[in-house]
Amino acid sequence: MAYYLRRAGNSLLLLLLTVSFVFIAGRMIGDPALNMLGPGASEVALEKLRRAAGLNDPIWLQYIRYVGNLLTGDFGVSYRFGYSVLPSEDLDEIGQPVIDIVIERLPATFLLAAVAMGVAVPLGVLMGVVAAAHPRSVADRIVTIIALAGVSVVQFWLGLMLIVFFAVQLGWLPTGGYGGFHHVILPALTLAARPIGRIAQITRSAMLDEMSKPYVVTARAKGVREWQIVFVHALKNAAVPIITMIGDELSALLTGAILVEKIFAWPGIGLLIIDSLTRSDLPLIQASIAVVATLVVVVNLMVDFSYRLVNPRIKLGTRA
Amino acid sequence: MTKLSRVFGFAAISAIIAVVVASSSLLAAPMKGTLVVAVNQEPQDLAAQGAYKEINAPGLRNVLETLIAVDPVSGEFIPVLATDWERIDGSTLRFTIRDGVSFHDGTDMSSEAVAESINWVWSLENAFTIQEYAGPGEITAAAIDDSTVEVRSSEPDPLLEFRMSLNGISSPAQLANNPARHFDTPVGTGPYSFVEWKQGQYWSATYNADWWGLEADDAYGTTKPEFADLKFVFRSEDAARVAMVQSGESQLAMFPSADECARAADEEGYSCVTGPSTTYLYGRLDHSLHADERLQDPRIREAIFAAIDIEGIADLYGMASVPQGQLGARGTIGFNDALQPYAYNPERAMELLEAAKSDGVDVDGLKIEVVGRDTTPRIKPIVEAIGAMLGLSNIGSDIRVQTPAEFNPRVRITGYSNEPGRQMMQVHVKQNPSGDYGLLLLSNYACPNIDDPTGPSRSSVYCDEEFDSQLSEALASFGDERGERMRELVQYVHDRHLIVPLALLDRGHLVEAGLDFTFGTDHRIQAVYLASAE
Repeated sequence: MAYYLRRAGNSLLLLLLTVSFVFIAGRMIGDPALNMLGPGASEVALEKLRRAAGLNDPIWLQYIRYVGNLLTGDFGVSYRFGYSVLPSEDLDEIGQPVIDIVIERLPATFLLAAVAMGVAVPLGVLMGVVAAAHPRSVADRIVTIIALAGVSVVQFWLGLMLIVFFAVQLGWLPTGGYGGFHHVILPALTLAARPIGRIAQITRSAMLDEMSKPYVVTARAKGVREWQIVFVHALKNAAVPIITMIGDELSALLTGAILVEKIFAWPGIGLLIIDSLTRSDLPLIQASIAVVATLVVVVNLMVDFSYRLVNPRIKLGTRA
Repeated sequence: MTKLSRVFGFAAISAIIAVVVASSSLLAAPMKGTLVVAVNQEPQDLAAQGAYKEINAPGLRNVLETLIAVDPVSGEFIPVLATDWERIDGSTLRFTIRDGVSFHDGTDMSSEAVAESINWVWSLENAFTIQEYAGPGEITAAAIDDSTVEVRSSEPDPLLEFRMSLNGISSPAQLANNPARHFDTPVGTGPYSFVEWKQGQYWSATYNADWWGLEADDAYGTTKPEFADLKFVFRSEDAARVAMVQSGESQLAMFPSADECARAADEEGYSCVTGPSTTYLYGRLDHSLHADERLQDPRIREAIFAAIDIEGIADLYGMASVPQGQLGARGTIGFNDALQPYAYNPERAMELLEAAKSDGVDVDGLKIEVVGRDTTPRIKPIVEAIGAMLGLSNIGSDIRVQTPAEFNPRVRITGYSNEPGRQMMQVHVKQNPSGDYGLLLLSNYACPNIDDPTGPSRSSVYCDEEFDSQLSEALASFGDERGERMRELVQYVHDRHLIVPLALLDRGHLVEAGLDFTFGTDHRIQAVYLASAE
């Protein structure tokens, strides 16, 4: 229990550091009001935005207010819709809370990540297991090449190639957008390429390690069927590094889907981050990154906690 | 005839009338489904003021209309929500508004409503970005009677008609009752009424069966829009927008890159339609204000411009032509037909530098900082090419591509006054949509006031009181006199080698075969200008 509490505490500290960094960075890249309204904005408009957003206050006061509001779940209101025009006293009522905008985008991101991992995990594990079960065979070489290609391929190129082939040439799938299940296939495949490769690589490596251990030799001597040795005994023991890798890849999907969401106009949180950065909508940038950071922290905690589920002999938080 | 047969007879006649009415309304209804347009960016918002520039909110003019508009073919002003207009004096226009027009929320477009909408858009208090196209004075409007609206500028404004062709007229009832929705739910009078905006995905509109243009004999465009619905889908990647047309998901892709557009048009079934815009790529050299003293030597500036192969830069940009030595096209008030692009002549550049050197100018220490903003297409190879061209004429350079946050403050007087001794050539894009040189000369060449960092010349690096005096007179003049005065000033600044026009940008659209798309230099996407090919 102490280990879990310590990990949760560390995670909270990490989150605080992340949101603080985003807060400081947002103010170091220039005047947030000028960035938002652009160089053509008049001083009247700039001043109205600064006043409405509290940007004229000392930075420490802004920071305390920001962190205080975060603790109550208040991420502020988007600068986007008439923030500089509408009466500032009514903003809380008529402004668009950024957390609502972020939450609205989460299902799309979750769906994309779930489908991508739904493809990547079974395929990657299966490929790795097959390769490890037949080392130096043709299958092993094919898996190694595919895994390397998956890890190395440039997502932008792969996404466009999939669009050209499946949407333009064959006409089977849409070029992008958000709607039915068929919309998620191409972006999910693009996103899954790297995790497939990495999971296959780590699975192969972990499985090769397990397959050379004495208990496998014993099992074989006892006449246990090969598939049982591979899938029931060895794979279970090799699960910890594979789960770690899956956790890493899931975190990467949540934070690194930006490019794929942009190519396929997938309205997830990655696209929202790009949009909010393009528009210099500071509250939205802060909220998007804080939510993504929270997701990553939660995924990593879940991975940590899952170790004991797959292997009860593991003692968490103890030094060797 | 029995009572029963009379009843049947009446019912039959009623049925026939109903069928005829239904048929005629069906005939009048649009025949096609949804026009899907792949646009390159999501709007910042859909407020009425944003209708002044198509790139702000592509397609918004289908929902929000203006009092008058610029005809995409002739370039002349045409009636829209005003049936007539007259100039009362240098600062006043009087509009007769169209009778019987309703906003999409059902409220009448009265003269008071029009005046209120204009005042909202041009309000200095609101300070919307449309102010970048504001004139010398504050614009206000007032209803004179039920059908007349008077628009006044606090200073004489020869371009007041142009400014009135920019602002969308939206429902004041919405502003009164639900002001926040003004920014994401436009309520106008156009042939299409707004349906929804799925942020991150698209915004859509549906055919307005009550549109005034269906019955008016002076309506713009086809007057019979062919599409039942409009959908503007946001796809920032050029290749993805082109793929949408190629896969049949969209009929029109806005602003694909020159390469993508040409490549797609090689195949049957699509055409890449291009046309000039009012946007220029230019290089602005630091000059008199806070600049390195050497740049005040006219020989140095001429040498720098002579070292740049303008034709090469226009080619490199793609989908662009070489401007005629000025930031305006033929037809612009003040266009100087006698001007030519600065000639590419490295030998001349080196001679000028040598002459300056022999007079003691330290030309060897020159290091021109060629800076572009990363939001400008192809800016990196362009600034690199300019740097390489300067190098061929033995002019040192330092190449930078900066983010808006870094670049924008350096463009304004409050920013560059903090960089004394600067040797910067800002490579950027600028629009000149007004059909007049006034605003352009004011913003680029008039003395900026450090105490008024939001003044119209806040981005000028030039200061010449004689020029300012002549410009003031030119700005206050009308008609032929204005044209002549502007022409002289355009020549004046050209001869001083302050800004080098590098390219007049064309814009292109990939269009599905069988669709005729008419657009002007503003490249507006309006369904009434999209029709099936004959």
